[in-house]
Amino acid sequence: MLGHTLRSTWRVLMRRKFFTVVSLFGVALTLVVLVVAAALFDHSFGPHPPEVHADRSLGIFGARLSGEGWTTTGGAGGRLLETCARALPGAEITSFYSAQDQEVTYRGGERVSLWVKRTDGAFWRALRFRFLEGGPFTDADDAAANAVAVVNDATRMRLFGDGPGVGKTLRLDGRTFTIVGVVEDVPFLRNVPFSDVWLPARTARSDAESRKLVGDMKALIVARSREDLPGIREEYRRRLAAVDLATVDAPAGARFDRLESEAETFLEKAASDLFGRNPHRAPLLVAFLSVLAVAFMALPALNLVNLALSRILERSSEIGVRKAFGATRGRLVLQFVAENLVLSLAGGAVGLVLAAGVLAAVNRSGLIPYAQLGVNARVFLYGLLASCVFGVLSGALPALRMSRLHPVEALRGGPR
Amino acid sequence: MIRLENVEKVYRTDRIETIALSNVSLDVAEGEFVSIMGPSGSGKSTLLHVMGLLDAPTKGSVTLNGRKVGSYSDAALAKVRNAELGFVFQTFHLVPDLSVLDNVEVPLLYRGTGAKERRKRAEAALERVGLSARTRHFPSQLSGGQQQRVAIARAIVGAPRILLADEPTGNLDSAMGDEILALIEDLNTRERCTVVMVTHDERQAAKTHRTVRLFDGRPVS
Repeated sequence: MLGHTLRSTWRVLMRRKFFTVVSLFGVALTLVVLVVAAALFDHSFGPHPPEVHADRSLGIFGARLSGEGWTTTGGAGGRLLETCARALPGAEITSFYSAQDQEVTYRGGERVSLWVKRTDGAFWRALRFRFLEGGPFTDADDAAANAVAVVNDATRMRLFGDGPGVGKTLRLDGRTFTIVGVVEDVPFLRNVPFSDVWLPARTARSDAESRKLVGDMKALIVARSREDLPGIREEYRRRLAAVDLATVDAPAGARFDRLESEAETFLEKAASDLFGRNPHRAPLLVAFLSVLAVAFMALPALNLVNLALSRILERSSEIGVRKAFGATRGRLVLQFVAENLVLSLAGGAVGLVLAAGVLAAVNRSGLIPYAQLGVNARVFLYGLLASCVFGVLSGALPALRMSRLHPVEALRGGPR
Repeated sequence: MIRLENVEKVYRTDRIETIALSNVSLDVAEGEFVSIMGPSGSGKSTLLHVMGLLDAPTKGSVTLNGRKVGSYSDAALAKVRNAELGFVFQTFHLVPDLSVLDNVEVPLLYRGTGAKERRKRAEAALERVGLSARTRHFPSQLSGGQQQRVAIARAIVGAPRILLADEPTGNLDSAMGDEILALIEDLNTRERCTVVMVTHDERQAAKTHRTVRLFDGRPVS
């Protein structure tokens, strides 16, 4: 049956080459946009190095302190993290790091602006960076506030050209740091690991952060297993509720009575912007993006419906014959949808090749710093899925309509 | 084998009501070769479509091999057509995108026959109609007579007990028409296949066991 359908499909598509090319072009173009979107999504949320434990990781990305007439929102403060996020049961690695800040250094009188992140030794265990030279700084370096730094490869190139980076120095924030490691560039879209330079947290000039509930810090918690994630969230919530807000410095006349913060997955964090604190925000985001993708496919699919309809209309006599010889409506629908699916998969293949080209161009353009967009197995599967949805979307309607044709009417040449 | 009782077929549009068949009762026995004749528009093809379960009568009943099919669903009718009926059309109705062999295999696709068995039976049917050398050709590469032979091979590949032919020689010259008729006669005599054939040709009708004549949708004697 499959061989018969494929042979028939091949002949049908080859008979009207212009229609086929137009259809392929429509599918391929739509797929290019979808695959690029999927690649961006995968680039941001997929389990790529250095976030190899993304599926069992939680982040504490912010906090909100509120009371009568006052609300303070920002990252998590050092005090909040030390009190509530340290050594949570079920956590294998817990790392605290600052939001990256732009800081300036000078190279031969030239101003060089760099993204700087401050963190601890655990950061390098929670994330698996690829070291090109040297190695990470340690918890001991952090505890002693040693002036050491890890830089990415792009920064090494900018500051030192083709030579090695380890052992060289870098002046930032009024201090001179010795480079102990050089890592492969991490794309800008991967917010947790991204930076140009990583410094020990305690090298910061001020320790004010350690007294804050709302500040500029974030936490990355790698659980022992996915099953530990709910327990970690629950314990964090419990500890949060136990924080004594009476001891918090509040502006004159104000009193804070509510502290909100959450341990969430990377996808939940992205979904928070759209769906707030809704407990189902991650699946909601995936559903929203899926609906968006289907809606985006609907318009070109409608065009393809028309093309498919005219292609099938030409074959009304074939429908009549097949019905006369025992084809049921279901079998005919399957046949025509399968034909469209073949067309969509062929368009999808062209689309994937074109998308790979577009992604390579985006990588080269520097539009997204250090972007490493590409068509990997996951993106390929997204593309395949989109092609199938597209094929079914554009094939089902004409197939359903034509399968309803009365056999005698079909033998006479179709609906009049 | 086929029994029609008081069959009426009316086509209605918003303004016009056309009576295609009126009070037709007919029995076709197993192994019979019946021709249907009549002027254009007399309801010959409609009668054949009703007998072939391609069209339902407005009134009356159709019995096929002892089963009244009036209440059958579309899917059940498709199954009966596939198992018990074979069709030959005036304009051949071969699928242009399929090879001769694939065309002949079509009825077997819908009864779940495996690919090897389908091929074997399709080749045998093509041999039966003298076209085994043309299996890889496409319909457009064949003459009218050859196309009708392929259509007959397709009609008999599933070994149906009834063959319904709607002017099978109408698009062929007389020599080719005679060849096709000889083939159908042979199927009737050697394989006891019941045949109902619509024709305009008195000469051909004379070769059948009996002729049913229609005028304005009614049988006339």
